[in-house]
Amino acid sequence: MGLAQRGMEERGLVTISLTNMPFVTEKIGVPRAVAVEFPFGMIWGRPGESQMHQDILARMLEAVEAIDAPGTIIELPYTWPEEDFRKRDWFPSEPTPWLASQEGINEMLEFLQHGDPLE
Amino acid sequence: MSVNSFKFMPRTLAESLKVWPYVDTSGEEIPWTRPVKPVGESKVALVSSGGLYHRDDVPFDLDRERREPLWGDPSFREIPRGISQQDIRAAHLHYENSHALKDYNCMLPLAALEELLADGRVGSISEYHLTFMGYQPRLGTFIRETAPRMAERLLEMDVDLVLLSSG
Repeated sequence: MGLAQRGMEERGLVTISLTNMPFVTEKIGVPRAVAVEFPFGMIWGRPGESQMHQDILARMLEAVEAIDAPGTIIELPYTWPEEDFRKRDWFPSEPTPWLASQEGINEMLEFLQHGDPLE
Repeated sequence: MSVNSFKFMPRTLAESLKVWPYVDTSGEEIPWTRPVKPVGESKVALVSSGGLYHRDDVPFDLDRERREPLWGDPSFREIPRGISQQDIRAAHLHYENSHALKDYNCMLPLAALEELLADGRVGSISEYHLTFMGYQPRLGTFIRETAPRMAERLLEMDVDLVLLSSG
């Protein structure tokens, strides 16, 4: 995501991203970002939470006008409700392939140690 | 940074992301385009890495990922403005897709964008929005081919401002 954003900005587009992994976003370095502590698959809020989707979008637009230095990440004050946390319904129902077998995990470990992300 | 979404992940995944071989951009400046238009006059497009696609389009290739777990489909898709919920499909083996199949706005908030247009907060909305499937350990094809094509497509549609989100 971050690399695609950098490429778009290089071509003259104004870009901002919504991330739940500012740890990663910071490493890659993007022009503008906002961060929320929401799970993958529902990064704009739960299905049907139209007010939350709209609030995040409005904050992103404000951030576009406020951010004046590349690499800025603004944390938004939204957290996943504690009572929802117990549902753990963001885990994929089909197991992620690389985590599903010892062979996949070994292949991933090899990649983590010696892999080339640009291959 | 206080935002820590590792808590939503299985431990093995969280640990792997902490030592992931991210592309090293430390020697390059972060690109920067100074906005020439106010946001309220800008044409806006959404880009999501959540694996959504139109039901008449080709799905992201999950079968190959099931066979080769370190491969991820590097292509992108277009989602027309105003797409109905029943025309949305989702293909991402790292997210729970059922939420987006109930209401795709939790990954691609087109309804919210229409509301903000009605309030005059954005100038206009792109005819198409772009999606891809964000799990790609080996990014070569995505970086060399897909990302430049996506940028080209957005420029073709005279987009000024791009709002990206990771799922």
